[in-house]
Amino acid sequence: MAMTDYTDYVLGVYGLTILVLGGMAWLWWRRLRRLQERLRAEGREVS
Amino acid sequence: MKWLARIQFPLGVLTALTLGVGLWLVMTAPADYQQGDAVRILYVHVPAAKLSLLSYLFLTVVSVLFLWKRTETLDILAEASVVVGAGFTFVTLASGSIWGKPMWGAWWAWDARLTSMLVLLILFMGLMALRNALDDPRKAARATAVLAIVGVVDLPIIHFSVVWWRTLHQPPSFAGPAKQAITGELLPPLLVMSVAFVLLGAWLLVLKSREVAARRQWEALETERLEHGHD
Repeated sequence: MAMTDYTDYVLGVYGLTILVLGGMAWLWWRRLRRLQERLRAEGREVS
Repeated sequence: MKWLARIQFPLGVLTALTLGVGLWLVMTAPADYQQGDAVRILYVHVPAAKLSLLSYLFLTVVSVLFLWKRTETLDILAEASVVVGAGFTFVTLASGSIWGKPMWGAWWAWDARLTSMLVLLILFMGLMALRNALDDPRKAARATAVLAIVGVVDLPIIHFSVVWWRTLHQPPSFAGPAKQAITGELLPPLLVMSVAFVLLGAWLLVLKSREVAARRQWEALETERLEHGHD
């Protein structure tokens, strides 16, 4: 008996995980870079 | 917080390497004789679930330490771990739901494991909302630390839900009854992906903590400016 193809479900899970966790990392990285630039522009040492 | 900046790059490299090895093992692992390729969802779902619980456990520890020591670094780590934990909990629930559809025939069931996991996500969101709702940062830090400590009661409920109640969900993957625990060829990719997720969680925590610290530094600068502006 042929086994059901579950590729769409597997790809859906891996895609969603990359989107959520990767998206969070990208967003935080972008915010951090912006804040560091602003703080440096004010002559503050970035912690 | 300079130590966070120092460890971020090596931690990122280690995370990427471990994730690479883990994904290679996932792709080369055999399909399950009953579930077919759908079993590959396990390698994301179980590590994400472990990280959800680990994030909350970490949050509880830093919250207790914060109430005792009152240092800002601990509060920054607490704020960051809530968001990281919420992300992993969302991935756990979403991957479980997508896995549930072909295996159980339903996207969702009000099952003990699923419901207690949903409570964890609501707890994380409640902690974020509580912190944002209070204007005084010190009061917000104290209130969220207390709520986080109270909420830890959900962790044993999640862990033992599949033992205490009759549920649709399978028993624990690592420490369940011998017949149902994961063994054989399915175990190496699961172990490597679990290590990779721990490293990824640590890297995300470092990144978020640095962002929170920089945001607080900027807010302090703006407050300082406003105060001088009024003088």
